[in-house]
Amino acid sequence: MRPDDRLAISPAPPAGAHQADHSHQTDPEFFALGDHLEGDPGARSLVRTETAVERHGAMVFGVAVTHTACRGDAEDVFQEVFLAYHRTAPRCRDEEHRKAWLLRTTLNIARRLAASSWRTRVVPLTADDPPAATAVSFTFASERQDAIFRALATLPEATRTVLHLFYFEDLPVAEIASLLDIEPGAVKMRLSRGRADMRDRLRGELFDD
Amino acid sequence: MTDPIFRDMRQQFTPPPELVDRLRGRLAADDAAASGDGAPTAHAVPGRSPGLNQHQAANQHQAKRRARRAAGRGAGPAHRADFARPPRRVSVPLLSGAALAVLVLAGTVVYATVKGPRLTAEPLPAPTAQAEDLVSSPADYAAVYAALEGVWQSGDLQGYGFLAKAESGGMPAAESGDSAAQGQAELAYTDDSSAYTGTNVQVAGIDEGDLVKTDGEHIFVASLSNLPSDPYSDPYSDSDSDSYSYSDSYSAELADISVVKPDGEGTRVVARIDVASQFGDGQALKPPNSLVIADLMLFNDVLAVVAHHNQATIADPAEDPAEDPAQDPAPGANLSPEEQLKLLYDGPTIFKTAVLLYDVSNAEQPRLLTKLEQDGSYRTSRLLDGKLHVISDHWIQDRDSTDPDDPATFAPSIAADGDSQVIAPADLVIWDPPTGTEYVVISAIDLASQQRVAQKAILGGVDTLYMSFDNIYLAHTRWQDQPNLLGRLGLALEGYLATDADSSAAQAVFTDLIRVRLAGSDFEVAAQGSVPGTLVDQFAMDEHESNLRVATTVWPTDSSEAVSSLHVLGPDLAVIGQIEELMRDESIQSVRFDGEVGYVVTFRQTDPLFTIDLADPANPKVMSALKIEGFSAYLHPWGEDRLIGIGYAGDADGLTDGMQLVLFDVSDPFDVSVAASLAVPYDDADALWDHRGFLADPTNSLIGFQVRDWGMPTGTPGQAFAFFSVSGDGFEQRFSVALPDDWYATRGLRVGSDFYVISSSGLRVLDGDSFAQLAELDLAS
Repeated sequence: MRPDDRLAISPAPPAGAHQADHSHQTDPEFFALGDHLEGDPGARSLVRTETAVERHGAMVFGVAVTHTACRGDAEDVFQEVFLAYHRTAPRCRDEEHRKAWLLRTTLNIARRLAASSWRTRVVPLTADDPPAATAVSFTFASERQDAIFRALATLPEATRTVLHLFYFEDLPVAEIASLLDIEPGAVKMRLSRGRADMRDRLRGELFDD
Repeated sequence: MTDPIFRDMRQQFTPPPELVDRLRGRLAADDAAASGDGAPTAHAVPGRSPGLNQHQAANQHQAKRRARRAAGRGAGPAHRADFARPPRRVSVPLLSGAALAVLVLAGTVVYATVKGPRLTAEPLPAPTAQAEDLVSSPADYAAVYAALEGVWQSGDLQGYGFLAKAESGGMPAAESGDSAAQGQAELAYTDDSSAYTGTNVQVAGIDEGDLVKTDGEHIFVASLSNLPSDPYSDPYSDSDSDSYSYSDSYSAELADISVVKPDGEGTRVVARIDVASQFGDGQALKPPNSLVIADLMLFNDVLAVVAHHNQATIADPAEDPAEDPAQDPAPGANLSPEEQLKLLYDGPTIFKTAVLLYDVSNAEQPRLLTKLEQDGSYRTSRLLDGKLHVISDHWIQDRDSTDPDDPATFAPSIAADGDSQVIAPADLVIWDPPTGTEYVVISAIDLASQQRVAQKAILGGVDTLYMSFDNIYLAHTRWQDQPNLLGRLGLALEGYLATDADSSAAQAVFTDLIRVRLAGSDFEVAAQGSVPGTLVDQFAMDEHESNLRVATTVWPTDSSEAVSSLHVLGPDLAVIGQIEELMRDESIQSVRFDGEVGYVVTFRQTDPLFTIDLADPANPKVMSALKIEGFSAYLHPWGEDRLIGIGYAGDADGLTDGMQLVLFDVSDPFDVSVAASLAVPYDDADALWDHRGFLADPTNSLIGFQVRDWGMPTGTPGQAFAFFSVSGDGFEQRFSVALPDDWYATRGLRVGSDFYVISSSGLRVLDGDSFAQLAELDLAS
């Protein structure tokens, strides 16, 4: 497990509707959450989920891409996030709350998936197989963009997450700190160092402070 | 604010239509399955990630128990004992032509290296010089400034480092407990301190800060408050009375202490301390200042409240060339709320750590005794012999803000009741060479006299901290660029070419260590050392008879295979013994040292639990390696002969759904076995990452922790606090209480005979025998 995988992300706050699904529990009596949670069953709404996909799909997919090892994993994460959203139907005060819920869930699921697929993903055994250089599994419109993405992929996850949210999602430091449950100062520290790292990798000016 | 190239790239993250179609299909199928009320189909994500396959692992023992308890319910599939691995597959990512050509070239080259002799990151040569040669106390502030200048000029800001799993925590009283055996089947583990349970800490006798503390008479809980003390409160909220914080993170709104009288059914809040209101000299703190409680510590009749005291500042666009000069920084200008928020408070934040001491001899009327402060962002605290050690990280962020003639701008300050002074040069320590512009600030506060008795600031960062009875060990991760193979071959490529997304082929990582000796009421920087690799968390360090045992995961520069290793360092932090390669291609997930034995759990392919003999510090030896599926993220010794592991379940293909509790029989370290395991069908638990979330109650042979279900791929979303009995035989689930979704950092305690499940939002009291709910309190105001 990469050293930076232990990013302390607070769990997303699912609330609201649920389905009493005990299929995978060893003891339904013991683990019966269904009776305790509030919310009206049937609050699932395809329209609601579709709208969320339309508004935030690119954000979710983008975070998934930069936080997983290959495109296939990113697609899995994308599906799992919205499936979770659909089932949980969290009560969100507003669009920003919804966005935060989706972002946190995406980060959590991507981490989980990275932990499991990292374990089973292979290392090439013969010279004929290309190396698992999955840093280039997603291609962009220009060489420069590809280079940025490749460089980003080599950063420790903690820095990468902050850089992604800052540059791709245009989130201010305060919001990033909130979402990741870390101090704004820590965000700035990572931004600053991440920029330095990216500068080194790209020999460019794009990441000057 | 950002270059259009990022917006352009962001555009390309739009999910492709066929992906959205696939999602629609799954949503529809899920709806159909849910409303059909039948057994939902197992959602194996088509074709890609076996790790998410649903799999239920329950061992035969557990199956028997359940069958006994509830006739008729089917048991899960028997635990698979074989460890056959599937043949390795190759995953071929999509590549553009040019990139592919580059990769094939590089791949051939890298492959040649991978197959060559193993190159591990070389550790720094053990320091042969005396500790005094490596560190210096500067003669004056000019020398301090010169050291900082050296760092800025070298442009070599070292060691980004990773954040430790949890800043504080500790070992249970397991080491001192007696195991009162009541026959083979019932290995009951009891403990003397049965009046109440304290924070689960790494070292018994050294307390660690937490949001909930009790002395058996009262419970003190850092509680949520709606005071508008958070400068980052939601800019989109219109209402004045609604200080809606953007996130539901507890750390954004902890501003009160609830004083609770634990009394079964009669449990009640007897006092509430509004910390922020007493801080600003009688006036409540207002933005841009904020005060957020981070930890509590309790000693005799003194309650110590450690809080982040931060002040946001506004950036001056004129000084920051990255700002778009066309943008008007004044709020109210023609900017969207998002842009306004970005500009506001976008300057450097001033971080301080505040320690407020309250007299709680009469807990219903707490009395503020004194306020102490130190520069820097709070990291962790430890309590030993009535002395509270507070550690913060003071980062000199911006060279331009420093003034060589004003030490307060480049060295940390401390304050007592408002009187601030810069730490004297005699209390500053500079490494040679300094590794960055961060100071670790350590204060020792004597709680009986409410005085700060010592302080030290070390120029160099800290990522993980471990405290023993004699020393504080500071660990700092340092990344060091090393020319990668292509660099050595003179091939210039834009960017790095990584052999694997998770490893940067051209950087080696080390952990630098500093030993700070506790000398009476003072500190003394005594030694410096370094080991290759990274620490998983604070449990990866342990001191025993003056030697420091450290377990690290090493990331060789020329291979994507991690190597887990163990080192024993002497008092000078030079390596005296080590197992350089415990396991190849496995990284360390959890570590627990227990006297002359060390337990290390690694994970990737075979996931063993290593039991290591540390009796001879110069010759650590592996006594056994137990192959298990899944891995434990936290290990907890239980009595003499058992070790509890809580972590993720697995099968031959990797991780599966859900967590598991494993009880290891460590009575014979040469033949460690699994005594029992229990599937815990949840997705996550705080205790996996923060050991303070783990309740250990040896008196009642009980453990407990919060669990969370994300509701995927199948299941009911939500969280609960679950209790389990532990015997020599295994675990038995006793009870779970559902928790509201917005509860965070939930702790379970026992006071007297009843259990208290507590978070910053509320509290539930459960009867110690029946777990019936006796009372419920709301603690958020």
